[in-house]
Amino acid sequence: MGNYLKKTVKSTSFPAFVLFAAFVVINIFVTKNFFTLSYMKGVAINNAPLICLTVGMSVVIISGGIDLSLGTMLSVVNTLCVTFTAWGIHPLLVILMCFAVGVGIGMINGIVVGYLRIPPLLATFAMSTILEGLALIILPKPGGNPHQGVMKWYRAGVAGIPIATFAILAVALIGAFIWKSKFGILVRATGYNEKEAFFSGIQTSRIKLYTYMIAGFFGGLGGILMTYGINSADATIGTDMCMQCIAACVIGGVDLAGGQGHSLGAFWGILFLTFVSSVIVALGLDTFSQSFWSGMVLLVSLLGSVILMKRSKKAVGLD
Amino acid sequence: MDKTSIHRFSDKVKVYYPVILAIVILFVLGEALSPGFLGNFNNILMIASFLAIVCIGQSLVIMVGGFGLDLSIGAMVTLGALLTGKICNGSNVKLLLLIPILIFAGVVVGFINGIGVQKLKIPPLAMTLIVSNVVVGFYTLITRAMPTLNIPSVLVSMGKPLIGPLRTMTVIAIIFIVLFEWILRKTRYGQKIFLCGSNRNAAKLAGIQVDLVVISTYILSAVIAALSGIILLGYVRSASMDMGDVYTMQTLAAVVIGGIKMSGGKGSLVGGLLGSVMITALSSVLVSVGMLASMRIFFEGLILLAIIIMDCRQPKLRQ
Repeated sequence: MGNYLKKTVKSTSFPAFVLFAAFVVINIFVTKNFFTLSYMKGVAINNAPLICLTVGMSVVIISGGIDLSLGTMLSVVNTLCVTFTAWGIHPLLVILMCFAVGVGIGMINGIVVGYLRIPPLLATFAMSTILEGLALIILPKPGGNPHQGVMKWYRAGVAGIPIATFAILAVALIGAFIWKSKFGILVRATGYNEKEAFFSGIQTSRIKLYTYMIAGFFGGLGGILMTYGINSADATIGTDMCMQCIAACVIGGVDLAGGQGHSLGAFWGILFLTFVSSVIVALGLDTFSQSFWSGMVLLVSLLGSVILMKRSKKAVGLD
Repeated sequence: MDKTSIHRFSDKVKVYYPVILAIVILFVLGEALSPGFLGNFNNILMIASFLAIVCIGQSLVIMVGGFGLDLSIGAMVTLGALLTGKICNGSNVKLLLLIPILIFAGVVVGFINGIGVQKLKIPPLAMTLIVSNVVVGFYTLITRAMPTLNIPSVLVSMGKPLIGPLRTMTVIAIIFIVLFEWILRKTRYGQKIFLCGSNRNAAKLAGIQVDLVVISTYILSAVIAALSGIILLGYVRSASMDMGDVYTMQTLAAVVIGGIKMSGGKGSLVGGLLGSVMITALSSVLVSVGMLASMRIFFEGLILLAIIIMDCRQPKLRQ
């Protein structure tokens, strides 16, 4: 038991968990109706999409890459979801098609980065611009609705627990166990040192392709959850999400150079950022101050995590 | 004595033949698709010269190496434009007060960017993206999302002809490009930038303070972007919260088209100028054909991706 405790505390994900826990506590004091069902439901439904994107992002980052197109991918899936529904397509098929779109875009990213050997920064940056335009082409003005029956079921949930909560739990579990699988080990190896991994016989291009497709899957999932969560669609809704995902990953101990960190860290990281936002809102500042302070918190958390991470690496002798 | 070909002027110019050809093709295409297009030439030159000024900063950051990138340029341009409106409030004299303030803002932001990238080893993409978020939050807070439209009369002359048919903006751009190109080629500082870009280790061993050089490029980039905001306000004579945003992607595209290698150490600001002209011409052709903004964004992203695929591939692992 003592050994397990030691491992947990020393893991890269632990600081993020501590931050998350701290801000949950602060939130309890600052938010009057924290323990009400409606508040918790709201938190789950509103943040489920971002949590999906973050876990997807963490897989790509640990493989040594990055995916800036996840945010706009969510916008595209969001707009497609309502468009498909408007065409009268059966809701289950709509959901399947949305996943397909996400994985498809992920596949394109994966081919460009993994096989055409384009730096992921530039490739996914260009892709995010393409998707930004695409989302606006599909849905020039916000509007539309997903299937109402499914939406009501989504909001109501099972036994009072919204579907979003189950989705978040599922995403967390995937994030937790993917790294124990053989695939996860190969991804880590690719991220830590691609050359050595390649010469050890790992098919790094294919691994990278798979990571982008996984990110695409999470992007699709996020888009679907967003659509049912807001019961509408907006082509610009996802554009600013990537930044928070990347910050959450770094705060969660995921090294942007690849190979180090865990999706659970990113998971706690994004939850931490969510609850910080909550506190800022609860402080009652006007919307303009809110966005400024959110940005500052993001910056400070990012810088703080990197500095602390460097200190602990130096102590172990890795730097 | 055998002169290596890269030193002959005609060979240096040869690199730009494709870009110049592309520009000519675009103008011909524009005239063909929408007669009277050539009348736009002066306009296109004006917008391109503005973009070229902002590209100077981006070029410096990229040329200094380490896969440097500055994604906070768009936000700094908007900041400059909005602060011009707010501080000057229509008076020409207050411009003298404004310029030091903008320079100070640029120095602060550039310094933060530089420290994050160079000292904390945060990838430039993540760092500048998050800093850009903070800058956006800052100017949103300062202006309360209500930009001042009282523009100093001096600035309105930006769009008016100065020397012959050349507008004031174009002249300013040419002066700046010649100035910085001279700095790059003829001063020790310029040589330091190229060395840091070509080979960081060699630069360090040669006694160059790499950290200072890198941070200085980020500072220059931020300052130039902020000051360009003044010009932008004079040219568009309107203000909005996102007026500078589009320039981030456009400087990147222009610089890549203009032949500046993303790995650093090579390139010329003339490339940035030609790239700017091409991007602006492309945008103009698409506008004259009546293409919607959403499709334009989509196509510009597609073209950026195509250029990146042609230009930025990394070598195979299996040599």
